[in-house]
Amino acid sequence: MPRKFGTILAILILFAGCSKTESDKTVLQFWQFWTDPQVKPTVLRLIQKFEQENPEIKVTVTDLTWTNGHEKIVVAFASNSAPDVLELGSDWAPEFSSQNVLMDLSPAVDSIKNRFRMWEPGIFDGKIFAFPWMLDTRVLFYNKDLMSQTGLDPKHPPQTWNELLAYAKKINQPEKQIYGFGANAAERHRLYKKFLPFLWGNGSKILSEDNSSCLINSKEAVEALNFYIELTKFGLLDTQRRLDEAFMQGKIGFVISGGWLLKEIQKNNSPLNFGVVLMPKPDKNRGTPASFAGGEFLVINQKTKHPKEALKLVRFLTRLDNCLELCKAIGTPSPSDTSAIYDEYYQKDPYLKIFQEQLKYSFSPPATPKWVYIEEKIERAIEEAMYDRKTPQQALNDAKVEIDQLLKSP
Amino acid sequence: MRKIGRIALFVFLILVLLGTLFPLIWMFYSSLFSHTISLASLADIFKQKLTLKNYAEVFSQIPFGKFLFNSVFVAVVVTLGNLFFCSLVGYAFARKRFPCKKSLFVSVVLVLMIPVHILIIPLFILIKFFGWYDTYLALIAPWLVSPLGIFLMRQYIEVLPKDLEEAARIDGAGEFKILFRVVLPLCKPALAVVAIQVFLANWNSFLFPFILTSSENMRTVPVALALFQGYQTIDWPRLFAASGLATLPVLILFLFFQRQIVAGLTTGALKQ
Amino acid sequence: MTLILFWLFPLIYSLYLSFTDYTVLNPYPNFIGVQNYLNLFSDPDFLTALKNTSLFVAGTIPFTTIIALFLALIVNQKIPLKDFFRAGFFLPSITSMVVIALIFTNLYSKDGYLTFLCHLLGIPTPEKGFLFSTSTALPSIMLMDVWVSFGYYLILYLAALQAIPQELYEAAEISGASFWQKFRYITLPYLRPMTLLIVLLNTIRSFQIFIEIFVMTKGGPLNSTLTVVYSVYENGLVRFQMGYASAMAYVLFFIIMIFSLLQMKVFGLGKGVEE
Repeated sequence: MPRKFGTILAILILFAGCSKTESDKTVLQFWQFWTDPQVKPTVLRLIQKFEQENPEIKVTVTDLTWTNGHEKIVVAFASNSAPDVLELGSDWAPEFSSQNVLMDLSPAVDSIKNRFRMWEPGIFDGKIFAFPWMLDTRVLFYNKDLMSQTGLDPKHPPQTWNELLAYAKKINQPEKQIYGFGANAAERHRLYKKFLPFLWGNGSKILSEDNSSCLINSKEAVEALNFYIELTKFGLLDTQRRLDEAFMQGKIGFVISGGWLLKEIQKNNSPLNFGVVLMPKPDKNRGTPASFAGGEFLVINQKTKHPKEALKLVRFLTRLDNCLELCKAIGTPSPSDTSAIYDEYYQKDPYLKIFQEQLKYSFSPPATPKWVYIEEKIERAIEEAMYDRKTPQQALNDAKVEIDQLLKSP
Repeated sequence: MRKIGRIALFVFLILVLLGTLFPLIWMFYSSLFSHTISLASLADIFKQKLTLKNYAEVFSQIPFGKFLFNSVFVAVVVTLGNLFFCSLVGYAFARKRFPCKKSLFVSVVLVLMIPVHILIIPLFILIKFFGWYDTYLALIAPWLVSPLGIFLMRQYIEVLPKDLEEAARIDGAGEFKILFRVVLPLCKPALAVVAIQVFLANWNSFLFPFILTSSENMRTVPVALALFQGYQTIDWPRLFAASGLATLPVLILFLFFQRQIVAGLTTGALKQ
Repeated sequence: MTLILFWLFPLIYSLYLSFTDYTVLNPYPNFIGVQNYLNLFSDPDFLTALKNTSLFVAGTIPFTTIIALFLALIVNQKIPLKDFFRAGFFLPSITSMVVIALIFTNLYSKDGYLTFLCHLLGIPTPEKGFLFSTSTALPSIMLMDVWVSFGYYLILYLAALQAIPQELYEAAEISGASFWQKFRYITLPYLRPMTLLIVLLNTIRSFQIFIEIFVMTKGGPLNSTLTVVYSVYENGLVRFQMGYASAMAYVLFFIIMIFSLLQMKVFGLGKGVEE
């Protein structure tokens, strides 16, 4: 037995010794999500470049996963061991911004604010907590072959709600495993992203300007939900991931998806004959082709010991040339820097051009600490309507009452 | 007649096995494709060109060998640790008298039934406090003794006849000697159950290794597998290749030891 | 014994948290007594989660146990390739659960193989796909769970079967006992301790089902697959309400405890598993 204790003791000492790094450089911890073997080298190269430009700083990079990164970040903040700089997805930026754990960037970025886009998710109480890094949005993907097979002109993809509905109806042949529209089914934390664009496009809003009351049962919102429910009847109901796969297999006529799908199609050399187009508008001369804005944000831990250096890293990563390099490695997102639009990378590519255009009409949900709850209520309402538990009007009425209550409670 | 029965049984088994393995066969087959798209309809599946490139890439693009080593190392150490400590603690609970024995044992059993998610933060704080974050110790130390193991060992030892121990004690054997020479050889079945349970739990453990470590050097296989899932996309062929590779060592271990496992569980012979 | 620290400290800490309004990112929790527990029982989502979890446990354990026992009896015979069969049945339990859940998501989808198979056999399939119809979502996940876990229990049963003294069977054969009689009067009684162990292990595990839900449905559609541990996760780590989540975990924990004790009592084995 003493031998086993000895081994354990040895391991103990060994690793206690290893965990120390001796250096007089400032060490920054940076947590990020780009683990794809095609992208990671670019991240590392950028970090290297940063270290060359700032020889007094050393950056340690830690990889997170999309499915479980959230837990890791939460646990780190809860135990006071969060990194100095970290990347947050657009869903999480408002959540953490409102929790008083991030550094207020306002003083540092006020002067350069106008050069960048998409500050909204990181603003809470008038202060800026998250620096937009890369932007992404969702557009309508359509399968040209399925359109022409059913006598539709693939040169004229749907531009209005009615066109989309009519085309989806025409293409939909579930018995042949061909579906008109790829609709997100009850998928928590994703479903609302598919419905909200229709609501925004129809000129409605979730909350009033001052976030004090809920507007979700407005006439426009009910119209949007009615339309969305109607649309789901002519298509495949599944998770976003499955919908993307089915679209790549040529089983779906139309699907709302993001840059990741474009990248995936190209990566697999898919023979798929597809196109992308702006989101449909409610009608030819009404509403906007609104979409859901996604993207990546960089934030600094409020408790960081090196706020100056951390800010340097954030500014370095969001610098146009660096950010562009990373965006190209990833494929479709574009830098938050407004001048990125003019880069020929986005101008020459017919698909990316649409994405750039769509970004102009992209919104994100209101930044409030109660968003997780509001989101749940909205998703519940959509599900209730989708599964015929309530009419869209009724479901949204109920959601409004509940959300109003949430807003009033402290 | 008997023969026909046998053949029918055999055919039946094959069918059940096929049903069981279908998803895994599919997984293996897809791991030989070059593209994700190959998850298409049945018809397309046979047109695909098969390649071993995903397996090669799993090793060339990420240090998968290192992850495998980490997983094996951690799982083996933890399993050995459990066999040792759980017998020790289980023996103490079964045979010794000490204050609060009952409530202590109850609390051990209770831990079994608490969802881990609420334990993450306190445990993380503890690991940080010891300075073990991102070391093998974080992956090993908290799991060296498992409540389930203690529970099983205690239950098993408690019903063993005491005569042998008494005899050994009269011969002047120390407590450790009694435990390891007399009691444990009788406990092989329980030890085998603990070993399988702990090894598998550790081999598949994801959340804690993910949260308690950060560098690539400390990554285990389940964490590496999770990294094959992107924001919305999954790198199917490589995920499948990697998870196949992750299954392989355990499968080999099983094939190698299965007779021993099954036999080991019984040499102690259940005391009726 | 010091190693218990790793278990006991978190345990007590979280028990304390269940009486506070601790939100993860706020370091100064207030003590609010049993308020969390009171809120729980007026929370319709939690009650749904409890109901679903109980359904899951009740609907999987009997099947898993019976299938494991049945197949163990078969592969315990002298049949060709029995090692191969054993390994095959064991394989799912050593494959990554996340990967399995992902595979099944595809199998179950409306354009997946299972729907295809049902069409061939003329079995009607739910209109929205297996995982997205409120009536089939939970059963689908239960089916998968049985599939994944029976192999492991099969191995445990196999071990118990080896332990039955062969002489008993021989003696029975001489006195002309039928197959059924041998099974009823020799095999079953000998397997009782192992059955209790298996049911116990499985109960504790099934009550805590999480990964499958997390990967496949996240509790949807309309909360039809919401389980307690998934609620704990959503409340604690997504919404930061760790105090509330801890209270939930403790309620679940009491339920599991009562169940386990009950099982031991029912099987008449209050003292020891192997008695």
